Amino acid sequence: MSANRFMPLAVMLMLAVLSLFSDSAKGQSSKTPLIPEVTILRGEFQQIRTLKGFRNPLKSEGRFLVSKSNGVIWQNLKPFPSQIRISNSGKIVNLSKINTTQKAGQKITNPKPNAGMNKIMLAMLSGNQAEMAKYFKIERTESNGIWTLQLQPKAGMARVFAHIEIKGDRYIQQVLMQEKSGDQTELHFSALSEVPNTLTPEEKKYFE
Amino acid sequence: MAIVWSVLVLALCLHQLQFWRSNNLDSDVMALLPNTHHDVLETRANDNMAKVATGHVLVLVGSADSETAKSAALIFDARIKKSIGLLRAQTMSEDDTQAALDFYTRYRDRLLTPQQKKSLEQSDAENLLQSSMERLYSVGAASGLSNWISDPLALSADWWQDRLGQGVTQEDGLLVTQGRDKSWVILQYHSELSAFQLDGVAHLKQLLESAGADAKRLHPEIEILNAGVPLHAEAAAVRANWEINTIGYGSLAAVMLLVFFAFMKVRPLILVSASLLIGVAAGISVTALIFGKVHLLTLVFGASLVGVAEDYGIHYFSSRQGNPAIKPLPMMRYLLPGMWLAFITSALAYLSLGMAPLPGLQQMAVFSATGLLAAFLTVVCWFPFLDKQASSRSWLSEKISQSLSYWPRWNWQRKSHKWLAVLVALFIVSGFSKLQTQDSLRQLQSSPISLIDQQKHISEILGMPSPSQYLLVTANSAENLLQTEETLKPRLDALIEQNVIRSYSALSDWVPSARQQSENQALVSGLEKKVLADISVSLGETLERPASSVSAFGFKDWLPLKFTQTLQAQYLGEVDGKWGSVVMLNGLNSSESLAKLSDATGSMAGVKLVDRSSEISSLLAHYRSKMTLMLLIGYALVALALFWRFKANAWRALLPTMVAALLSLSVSAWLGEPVQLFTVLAHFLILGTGVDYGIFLLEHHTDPSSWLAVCLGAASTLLAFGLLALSATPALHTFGLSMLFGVGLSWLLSPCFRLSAEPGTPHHP
Repeated sequence: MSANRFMPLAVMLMLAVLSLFSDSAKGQSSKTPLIPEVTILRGEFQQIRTLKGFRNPLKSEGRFLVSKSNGVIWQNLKPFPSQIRISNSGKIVNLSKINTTQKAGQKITNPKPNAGMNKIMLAMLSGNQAEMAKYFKIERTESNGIWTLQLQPKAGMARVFAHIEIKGDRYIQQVLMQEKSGDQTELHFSALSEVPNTLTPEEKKYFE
Repeated sequence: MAIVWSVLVLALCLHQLQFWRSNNLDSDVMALLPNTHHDVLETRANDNMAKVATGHVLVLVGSADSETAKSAALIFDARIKKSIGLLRAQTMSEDDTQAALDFYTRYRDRLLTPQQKKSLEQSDAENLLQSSMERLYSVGAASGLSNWISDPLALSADWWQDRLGQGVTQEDGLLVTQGRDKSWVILQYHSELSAFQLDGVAHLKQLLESAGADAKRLHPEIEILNAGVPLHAEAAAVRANWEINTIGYGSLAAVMLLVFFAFMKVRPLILVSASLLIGVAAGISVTALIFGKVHLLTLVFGASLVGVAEDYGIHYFSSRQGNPAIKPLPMMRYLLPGMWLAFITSALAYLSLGMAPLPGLQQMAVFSATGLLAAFLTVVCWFPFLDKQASSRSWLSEKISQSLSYWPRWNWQRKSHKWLAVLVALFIVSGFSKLQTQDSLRQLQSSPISLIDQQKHISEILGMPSPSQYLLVTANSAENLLQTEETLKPRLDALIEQNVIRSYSALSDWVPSARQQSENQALVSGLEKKVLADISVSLGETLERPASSVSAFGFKDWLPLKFTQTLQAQYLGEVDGKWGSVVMLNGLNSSESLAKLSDATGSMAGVKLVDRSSEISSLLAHYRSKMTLMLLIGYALVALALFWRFKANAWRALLPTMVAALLSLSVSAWLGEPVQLFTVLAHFLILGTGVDYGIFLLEHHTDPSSWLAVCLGAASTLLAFGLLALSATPALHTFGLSMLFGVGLSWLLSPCFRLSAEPGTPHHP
């Protein structure tokens, strides 16, 4: 890190961009949730990504586990298996790179500092509205038991996202992220359940 | 003669009007110090560093909870914005930010952090492909600043992070950082007070305090920290305003009281005050004409001039009082030679202050000498015409004149006096064993402790670069300049690892050398093409690498960008074929660190460690010892002159002053006051004034009216310089204290060594 921590003003404002990739303070949970908050949520996901310069969309599938107090585990199953953990602080641990013979705790931490982005994902999935409100103006509509959130990015976030739409009923059902660069990512969730509402011993191991 | 002087005084009044309107006062401590550099680039670097600091005010609003800190910061900011013409919020427009992002996106494949470069050079195609594929299928948003295909190796985020440093984020449009177990919102302002005002009101401080109070009303638990050069300047101005009032008006009032009780008439009072006012005004005007600006410290010091310049008026009126039969004009003619001598010796004593090539001291010397001259000329040219009637002897002047005959006399034969001498000697020796010296810049600065503390806390949380310690890089071309910086930076990175410095900021962080850019470009474009080709094969795509700039960018492309404004201070440009830049250092706070830095960079051609504070300290130390030597020579010369005049009795004039000077030093030592340049300078004036008392008493040892003149003169000198001891500026405080003891003691001691009272006629004209 060669840059000065006491930055010129102009440079500091460039952080608008960087805030996406670095740690930020913990948010408070709101009293009137826009999304039902959950303590534990398990399910399957399908992701469809449309990238500029690519003819075909990129599809992936897997399972996930959200624990409000611990973080998220993403388990990619297709097209190739991988597993990551996003802790509450936004830190990512790439679990798939851990050698099975290694002891727990010797996990390789992903050096990519996109914690901010991951915290947004975590906030969306666990319904942490305050965290989302830090970066987006949120508008909520509801019809026939299906709610829709329109997220308009605030100053810094607007450099990356054009628009985000989240839909759900009791649980989150789908997320559509349109990026400013033209790339787009769609997430669909299924087989959602919050039972049992505590982590099983097996699940706990992921968060160790 | 009187008419010529009247015209000059009128001109002086006009200049004064213009001066106080144009606000030519200076509070920058650096303005008191010489620019020792002959190197144009180094001078420019110093100027730039000083300019950057001027005007910038930084506020941190902290709370254990970041939401509270943000809410408090918004209240604080709203209050600041309500007041007009004091502090302007520093923000950059979205457009300027976007322009900077777009600029670097154009050159994206020419930008790599050292770590990125190293890992790319060592990577193999298999690994790169794998991590690229993983990112392609990772959950969440696909890319970031640009679309995925423009940055398949995900390099730009890391590059920006490296530019910006760790730990500062933007939330709700506010900059937030963590430190000391709290979240801190960073607010930045620019002071719009073009020059500080000498109205004694701390405008900025009051605004910041009221904004803080607004924020604390809702969130009492928050902590607010302020820092910035304007706050120090304002504190200095407020303090100086108080000091000028106390010292200037205080000694003026005291002198007026003395004059009134000595002569019991209003006219002497008015005339003496007029001579003082004209003296001070002339001091200010001439200093402003010669130096362009008058420094605050000069004004504070100059205020004490009052205590010396009144001598001529008092001298005149006490002689008139003693000899009412002689008419004003003949009396003035009779006094003139002596007054000339007195003026010249005092003026020389003041001018000797200016021998050290410190602009601050030269200002004070010019100020005092011209002020003295103007007061002297006022007395000489005006008093004989305005003085109508000699005053009769007052009760006070009667008492003072008579006191000489009761004054104790030193007797070497008496046992008690011998013991006293031994005690005094012991006191002096023990005091000298405690003497310390101090040559740091701090002697010229008196910032409130709370401001210094807040600044310390802010540098702990944010890290602030020092404007007085930095690396100056020079080369014969812009490209070589950047290359020199690039060879310097790995050494600095090593120093960061060793905790010698915390971080640094260099222009090459933002403008890599053309060589570096083309190396990066070759590496990145090759690897990106390979990865895109591999992905195309495995996904059945035909991915094409988007175009990027074909040429490198340099200073001329970069400087027009708005966001570079605050970095431009580090850019020194070209002077006579030599290019220069400043590498700013952060967290350099011990002399060991400085030595390590010097070791690491000393051998590099074109890299110079500039340390203004130590430069100034060694300069002050140099002049302290040089002036001490001059002082000793001064004592020797005075001793010779006295011996030539008084032969065997010469010691009677010199000893009191020497003892007084030594006692003054040891008292200072016992009080824990270190000896500094200004202490030595005070001793010049002690020698000058103290010996005068001795001479006067030796010359007219039976004339009580000469003792009256000595007493009145000494009392007013003591008042003026004694009040200077109240100054918060260590240098002026020391100066005042030394004068107080030195002049006071030599005044009290001189009559102890007077010649034994032989029958003789009182000295009368």
